[in-house]
Amino acid sequence: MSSEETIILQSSDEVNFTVERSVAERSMLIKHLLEDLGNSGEPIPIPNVNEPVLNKVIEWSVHHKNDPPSTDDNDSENNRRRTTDIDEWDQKFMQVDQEMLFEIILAANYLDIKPLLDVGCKTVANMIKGKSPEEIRKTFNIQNDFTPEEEDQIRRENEWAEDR
Amino acid sequence: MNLQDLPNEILALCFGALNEISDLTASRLVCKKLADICAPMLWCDGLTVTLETRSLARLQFISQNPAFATLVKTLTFDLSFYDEQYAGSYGIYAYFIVERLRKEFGTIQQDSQRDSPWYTPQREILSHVAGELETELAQVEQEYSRAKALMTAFHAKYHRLFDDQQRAIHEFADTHRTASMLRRLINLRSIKIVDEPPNPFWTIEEDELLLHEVLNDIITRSFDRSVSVMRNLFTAAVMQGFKEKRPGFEELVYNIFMHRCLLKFGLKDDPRPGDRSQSQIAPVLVNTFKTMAESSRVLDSVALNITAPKDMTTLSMTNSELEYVRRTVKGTRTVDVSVTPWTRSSTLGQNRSLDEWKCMKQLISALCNGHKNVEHLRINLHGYPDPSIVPEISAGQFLHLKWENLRSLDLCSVPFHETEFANMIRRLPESLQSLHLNEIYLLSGSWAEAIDSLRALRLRDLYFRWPCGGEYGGRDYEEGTNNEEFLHERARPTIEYPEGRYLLQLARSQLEDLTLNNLLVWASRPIPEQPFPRRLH
Repeated sequence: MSSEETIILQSSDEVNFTVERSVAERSMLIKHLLEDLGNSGEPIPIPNVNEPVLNKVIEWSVHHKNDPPSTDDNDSENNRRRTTDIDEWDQKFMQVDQEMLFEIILAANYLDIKPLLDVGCKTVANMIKGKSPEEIRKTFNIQNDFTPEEEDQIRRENEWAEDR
Repeated sequence: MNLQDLPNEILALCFGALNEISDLTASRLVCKKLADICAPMLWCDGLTVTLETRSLARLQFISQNPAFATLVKTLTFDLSFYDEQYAGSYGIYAYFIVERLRKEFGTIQQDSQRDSPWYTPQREILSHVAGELETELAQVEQEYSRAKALMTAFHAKYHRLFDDQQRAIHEFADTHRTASMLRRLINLRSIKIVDEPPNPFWTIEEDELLLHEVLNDIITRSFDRSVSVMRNLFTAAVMQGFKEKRPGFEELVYNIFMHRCLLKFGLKDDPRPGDRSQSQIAPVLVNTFKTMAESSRVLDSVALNITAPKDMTTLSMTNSELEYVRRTVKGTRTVDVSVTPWTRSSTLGQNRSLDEWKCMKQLISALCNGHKNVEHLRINLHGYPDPSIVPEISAGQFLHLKWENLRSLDLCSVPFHETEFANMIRRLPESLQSLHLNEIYLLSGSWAEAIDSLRALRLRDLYFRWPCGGEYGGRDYEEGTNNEEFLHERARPTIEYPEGRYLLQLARSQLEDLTLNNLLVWASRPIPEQPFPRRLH
């Protein structure tokens, strides 16, 4: 019974997805919800996530449903320097337009799917790596809102950081 | 939707995944929002203060900028210094560089041997290529003067750094000033004091582009005919074999080249430089502790990790100076002291005098004793004992373990008399959960008894590795075994190693009924010919 138990998830635009419980439980939010309230068989509304995004998140969760639970590594302050290596499947998975990438990141954050959030953030980091400020602006369509004085100030601060 | 629309905490995750400071500084120049998001990441790995005027100026800058000052939680004092001998004499400096190059080649060969058979063809390529290069180089005598100019420039840079360091040491002596900077780092919780000999090589930096060009020019002209073939072979061998960590093609060519040049300059007969002079470390170390004491910070963690000087008595401190040390660790929960290697590099086999031990004892006592709050303590004297006569001084004489809250204790290469070892074990508080004993040297008594005393502990983890002394004695040294080889042998973890079974059996028979989460026993020392009779229960 347990392995075939299914859950119905409902996107913000009221599209239903039927998934195995193990897939749904990649989301800590849903996992805790099911633990607390049990599975009534009713659709679980996911108000912040629309159909295309939820579809992507489920695609990821299906592929990763058998991953070992992430150990609570203390990747806190002491261990900030992380690798931006992403496994091949995830890389392909993340080949989407920026809009979708950010939506996936937000959904992963809301649904509390840490590994997906990680992959999303790393993807963004990889888009920044090695670029000049101007190139970063271009990549993400960001306006330079500094006054020349402010920019100078940042440059001066940066010098101290780079020089070690 | 735009990147800027992501919530700050998610942006922090994205930019936190960047490894390079240069990526962070570039991101800060994109827009105001990203400037703020990335600012904390510039220093969150901690701040390192070195004996350079620029480094002290940076500390000042950060301390005066509240947005940055509050972010610093870890501070490393890097007391490495440039050596007066090398700064003062071109000959000694150049000789030292040549020595380093030889060692570098030695290391490469060792590495390739160790990992054979995969490396075997690579090694052959390497030595073949090296030989070819030397032959080629011999034919370009006229270029040596340019290389000499390069070496002179490197030495001049060393000298410049040395001079700057002298100014920094002078500034650093104003402990009042530095302490006031540290007081502004309000979130500072942990300090580390390290002393590593600085690398006399520098990677060619942008401002030295000219030197770089000279070298490139020489290399290109020298290896005109075979350079492309060799380059490919060499790059394959070096880059594949040693990944990015190892010197690449250019660097190795420089090395071979300079090696050759130096021999050409007749520097072979220059006086061999002595051990690194360490006369300056003591005042700088005292000033570091004085600064910390004056800043009145209560720290979670204090680590002292210094290279054992040629003569430990240079670390001698007066009682009032030791008081600064005691004040620095007041209230600290984690103390980590490491003075290594205890063995002298140039005089392997010679032991340190009792006076040197006494200096060390004073320093360690000041750092470790009588601090009620200490929860984690690590003392590492790796390399002790020298494989000859062991001084009759036991850590039992100065490690008065009176900690009430100690949770983990990690001792490495610390010498004990068996009775004092047992006493120490007996005095350990009930709060202790983890005990690591690595290469403990038993000056008297037997490991059979020492292990027996461990039975009284109620621990979660016990790691017990490579016991020395006791019934293991100094047999190996007396037989004239090469010390270095011996140390290497001992470093091999061999739980299956049949000769280690004496200890394993001993440990198992005496400790197996204890309830431990982890018991790890490693021993690779040979079995004594006449094992001590085991104490039975």
